[in-house]
Amino acid sequence: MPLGLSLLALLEVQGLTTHYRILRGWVRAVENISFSVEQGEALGIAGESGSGKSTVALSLLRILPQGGYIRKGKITFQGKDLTSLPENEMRKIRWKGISIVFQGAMNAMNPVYKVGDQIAEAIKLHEKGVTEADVKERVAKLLETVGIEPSRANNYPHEFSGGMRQRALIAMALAANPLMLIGDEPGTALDVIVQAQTLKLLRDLKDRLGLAMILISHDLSIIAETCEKVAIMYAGKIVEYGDAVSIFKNPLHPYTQGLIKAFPSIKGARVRLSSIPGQPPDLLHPPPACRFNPRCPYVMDVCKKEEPLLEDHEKGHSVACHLY
Amino acid sequence: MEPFSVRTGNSSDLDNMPKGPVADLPPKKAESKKEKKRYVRFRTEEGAIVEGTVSEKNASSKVNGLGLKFNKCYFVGEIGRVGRLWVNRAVRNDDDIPAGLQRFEKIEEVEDDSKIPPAPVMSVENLRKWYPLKRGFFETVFSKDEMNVKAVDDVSFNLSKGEIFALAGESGSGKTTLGKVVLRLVTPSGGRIFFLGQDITKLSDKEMKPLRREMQIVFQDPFESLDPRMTIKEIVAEPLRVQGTVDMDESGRSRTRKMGEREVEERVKKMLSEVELVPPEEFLYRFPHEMSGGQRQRVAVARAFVMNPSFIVADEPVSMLDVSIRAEIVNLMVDLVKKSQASIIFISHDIALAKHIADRIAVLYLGKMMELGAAETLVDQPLHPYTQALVSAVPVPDPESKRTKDVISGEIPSPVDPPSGCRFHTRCPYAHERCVMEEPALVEVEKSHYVACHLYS
Repeated sequence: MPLGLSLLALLEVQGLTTHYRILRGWVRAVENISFSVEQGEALGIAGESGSGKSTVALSLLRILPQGGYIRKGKITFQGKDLTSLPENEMRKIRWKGISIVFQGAMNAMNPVYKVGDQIAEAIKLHEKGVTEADVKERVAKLLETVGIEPSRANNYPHEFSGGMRQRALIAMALAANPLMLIGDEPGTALDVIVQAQTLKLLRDLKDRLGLAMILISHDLSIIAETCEKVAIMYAGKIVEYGDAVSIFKNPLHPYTQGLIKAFPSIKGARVRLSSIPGQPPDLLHPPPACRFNPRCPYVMDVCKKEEPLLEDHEKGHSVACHLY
Repeated sequence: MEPFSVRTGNSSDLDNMPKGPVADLPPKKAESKKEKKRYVRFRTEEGAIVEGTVSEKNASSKVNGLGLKFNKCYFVGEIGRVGRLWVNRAVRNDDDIPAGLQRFEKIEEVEDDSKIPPAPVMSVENLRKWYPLKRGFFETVFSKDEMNVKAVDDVSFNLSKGEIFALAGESGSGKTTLGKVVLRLVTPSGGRIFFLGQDITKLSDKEMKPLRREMQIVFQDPFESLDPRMTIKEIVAEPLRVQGTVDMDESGRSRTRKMGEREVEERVKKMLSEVELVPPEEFLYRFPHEMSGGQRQRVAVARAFVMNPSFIVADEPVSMLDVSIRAEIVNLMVDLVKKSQASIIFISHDIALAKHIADRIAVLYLGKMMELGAAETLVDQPLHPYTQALVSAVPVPDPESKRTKDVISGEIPSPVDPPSGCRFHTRCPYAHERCVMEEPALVEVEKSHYVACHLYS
């Protein structure tokens, strides 16, 4: 097994392939990706928009929009294969097993219900026979966990600031005591300070509750600050995967190198920013072999003919590139 | 003969924040093939420095091949401040001389002296934009206090030629409003704006129109700022069609005329190649939806630069773009600014990005300027506790860096009823009694580094 997959993993994804059916053909959004997340571990999935990172999250929960199909692969969560689970079983996994915090804190809540009631709804749906008083207490506790005054449960979403809404969404995701939390671009629409507060909260929650986390972001530095493991996605594939320290200290794939360099660093001297020339490919007709070959500065003949496989370069650090 | 911008005085007088009115500049990007225009500095016989754009035609001779020399020069204004200057103006009798005109004999171009800061393209004094809150009838009748959203409150700064001036701050700090006010897209509620020497605070839309050719804006979202029904050619050509071009006639007077179709196309093509949409022919007749986000933002940049303006506001131009193409657009804008010597106000919530591209950064909080200084110094040694908080909140792409950094709590308060005294005191870890009572002034703590905080006064 290449990726250091272990039998202890809480979530194990093998060869996941998700495509979207459109009139002109199949959009190959996610192609043959594998990773694993253990209990209490945070995995960061990074990549540009259109790289398929959000599709991975939606596939895990089987909440793909119309036209999206998991065409291949296995998603093993607590020993169950989620791809073949019947819908009523799957509903038990969502929220109780894996829950998700969506991007866009501003629009993810229903504006006509009180925040507390929205959180209460999640509890009531997932636990039968809880008393009204119990639910109320749980809501208050959840809000406290994410640093919101419990009395604010009676407010409507518009009475919350952006950061508070993001916190309330996290509280809602935690309502059914999930084992794993997926954050799809948490903090992207937020200001730096509020974003830093949100990330700190997620880290604290992970440590305190022993949550497993998957954090999806285009911002590598957010992932560096929060996750132990990183998967870099490009055009629907994982091009580099492994331990965060190893990837950030010694990025191997030319795309990862470019991405890290493209970030203006707050530390260090003023430099001219470097970019990755070209554009992400059209996933309807992705480039043959290595999908990064049209933009790669080290492109060789073999890159256009043969697809590189994700292979271990050193322990806990694998890369899909012909250079290695 | 024409007026041109001038600032007189010894170099020591010319600090970064002159308070006086700024000089007049004519529409200086005249499109005349016969004539060369240059931005130059002169020294008068008395040793005062004057500067501005002049046409070489007016010079009586050249000194050392490079310098221009003028025999007569009239200056309106106070020495030591920025005023207005005429070169070789024909003065028939004394009545022709406006009041307060000073005459200089024989001024010569001086070589570039980095000790003398260039004259500001724009200076803003105590600028204010308050939006009155809508209230019910009874409240209006029975309560006299006005409620205002103080989006921009008492902001002053100068913008030099060719400078990249970044405005940083959280959302709600007033960065975008400030950008719109200095362009006069929004009417200020108080204070003054000088643009190319002219007080534009109260100009009417009609009076603003000729100045508009010198000021442009690049918006945040290239998916919304380009008309989906216009071709790229139409989008980039629109400012040219609205503003026409300025020609210089024999006597040196400038005249605006409409541009011919061929001329427009030439200009558009040239601009598209400058923003690296090559070959331009391939893009001319495309529609915005046929292009990627990065390409669209290039079109928006082309539209802003096609008039060759002297001042551009870029409102978060890259925050909607992917990281891998962000750098390309930023570098493109920096290069165009360097090449055209335009000044740019770069609005960004990303202080790390601002550090790398801006010359100076101003940090705004609830409509007030908290700190102003050279980009690198401000980020590396932030003085104001708010700037310190902003800088430390920026995530660092290094998994081994300290993960348990302190983040200030709370969020930006409402600008309707901002905290008393220092607006940051509710979140400041160093707040003391004085901060609640008294509002700190923006003072120069180190050279060209201003901060509004009681810790430093």
